[in-house]
Amino acid sequence: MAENTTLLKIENLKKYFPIKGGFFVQKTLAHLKAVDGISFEVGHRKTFGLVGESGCGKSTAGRALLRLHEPTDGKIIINGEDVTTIKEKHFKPYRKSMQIVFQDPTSSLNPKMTVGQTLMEPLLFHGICKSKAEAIEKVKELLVLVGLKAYHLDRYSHQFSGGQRQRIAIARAITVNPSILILDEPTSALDVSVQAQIINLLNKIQEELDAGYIFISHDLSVVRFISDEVGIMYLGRIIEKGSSDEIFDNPLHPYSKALLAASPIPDPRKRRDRKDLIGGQVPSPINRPTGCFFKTRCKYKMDICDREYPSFDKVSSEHFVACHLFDK
Amino acid sequence: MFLLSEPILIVDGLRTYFEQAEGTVKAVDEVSFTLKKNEIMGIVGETGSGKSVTVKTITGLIKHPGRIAGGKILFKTNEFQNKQENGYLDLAKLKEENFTKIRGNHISIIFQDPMTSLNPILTIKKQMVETICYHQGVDEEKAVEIAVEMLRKVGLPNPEERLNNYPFELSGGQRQRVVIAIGISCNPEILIADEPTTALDVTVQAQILELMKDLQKEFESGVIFITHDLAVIAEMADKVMIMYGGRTMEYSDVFTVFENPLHPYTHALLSCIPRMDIKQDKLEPIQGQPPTMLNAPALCPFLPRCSRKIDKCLKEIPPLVEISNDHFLRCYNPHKSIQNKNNGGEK
Repeated sequence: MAENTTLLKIENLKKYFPIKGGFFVQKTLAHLKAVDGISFEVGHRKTFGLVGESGCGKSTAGRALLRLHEPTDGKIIINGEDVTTIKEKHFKPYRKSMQIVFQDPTSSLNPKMTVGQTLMEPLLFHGICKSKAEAIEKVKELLVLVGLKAYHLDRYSHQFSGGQRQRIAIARAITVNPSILILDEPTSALDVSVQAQIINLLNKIQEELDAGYIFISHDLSVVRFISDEVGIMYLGRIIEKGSSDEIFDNPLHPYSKALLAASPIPDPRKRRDRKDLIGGQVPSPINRPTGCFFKTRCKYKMDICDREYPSFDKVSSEHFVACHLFDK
Repeated sequence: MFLLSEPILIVDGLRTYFEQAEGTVKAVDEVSFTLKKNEIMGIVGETGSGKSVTVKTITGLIKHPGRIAGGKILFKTNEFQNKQENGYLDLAKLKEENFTKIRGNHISIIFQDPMTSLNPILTIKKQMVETICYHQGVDEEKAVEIAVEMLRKVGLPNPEERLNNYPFELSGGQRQRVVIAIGISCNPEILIADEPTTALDVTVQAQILELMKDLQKEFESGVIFITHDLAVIAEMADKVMIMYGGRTMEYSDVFTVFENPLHPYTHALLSCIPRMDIKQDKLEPIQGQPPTMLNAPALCPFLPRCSRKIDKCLKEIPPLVEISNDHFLRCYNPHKSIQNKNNGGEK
């Protein structure tokens, strides 16, 4: 059913933030390597789930894709064209094809604008609608599409509940018919009963727009449900990548295993004895360990882990892992 | 001391109302449950379902314009013997100035965000010693000793050094460990945890949940565990109370609630959550929005979203009835019980 073409290709994307210091002269003392060389692809009607704990760089990666943070290195290829370094004014049409939905709809919507104004702005800015009247008609269509009513047009965001606000944020993202949607924890701020509504809405919109999704989340159960492919991030790098079923049914990296073992399951008979539970904290991204980043918490640590970062090896046709246990 | 079957806390028909200019917000309306020693009771509910207000009422933390509008909170304790009836003290009638004898000493509460429940400008030592000295009447030297002991129990490395840290110097998980250490430092009979792991990452959450289970076994206390996360409840609780719109909707042991739920809301809730352990094709969302609590009609709060409503539901609110042993339900048209699955529960 879905075409097998690549919409978006990310190659070795990096985002380093300089850490400056010095009293008279600002010098760059070190770099915080928030995203350190990640690569993945997204096709039409496909969802790539980016999972990790706080501070692993998943949100920075999402913003770097849109060049909201200018990438330090690497390539962003949209429909075969490298857009990483083109000038901002030439990038504008690509912004139209890539949109983002943030976690908290309360802070991502302008409280002083009505829903109509919020949704009309991109339509007029990108020249999709020529007149205001046309834009209003389009906005009404969009509101119905995301499950709101056309008469909600004149209301302000504070007049809606959290779930409704997230519908508005989604409506704003899809006003310009994007082919790629970046969803940065879109359901984390919502109640479970509303979360399911939003997930189903996102699935419906994906069919309608034929879009590719990048779904960023720390919630493994939501990621499993929505993603076709999953990448697990740790300290700025993807440590395991594969089809959703492969990752969840057959995780290989010790960190992936620990992450899955730590996530509770809504079934009281599946209470685990937590064999794979890991202790300790995530190391500082400014001062990462040498060799494998996970070695400080890994119980399978070998000598080689101290020396070099493992290569990202293919273990099966749909499964890649960066761990010395799976070195060829 | 107490018989195993004897509850240490009986909440009966509790109501907490907030008087607003626009009307009365019935945040908690007829909530009833019992808690035994050595038992973890989970309260599950969505935002605004009244789960936090319930435990704040129990710990006497409801301030004006809120008030207890009815019901009893019976607590088994040795304090205030002269005010007791049948060996129980009614906390709903206890004066605020007397509550300090109960709160912290016999009932402790842990909140969601450890950064806001710790004082940012005091060291961990100051905050722990203050609590321990106040409640246990020991001198500072002894209190420091107890504090170190407690920090060791909650698995904080180098507790002697950590005592001199300020909260910002610790990670989120470590801070929550400190809050738990303060909570258990007076060996309370009841430990209340209000979304203790919601602000934490999953691997840290797993550590804290394990810690809480271990501590509960060691101290043999009763635990009330509040969360919106059904998966966490399945992991932790012995008994589960499902709340919606300020009311108890269904209340039973964890196996019954997850495997044989009868209330339409519990049913709907369980079928709308995505699961990590199995592949699902579809989620069944609950249509509509959670209720507003302002001037709510005296009907079932789930009525507007319910797919099983009958004529009787439009007239009056169903009472909370015990339909089978220890299984309480508030519904006129519940789902049918699945008999063959209802035999494995650990009673």
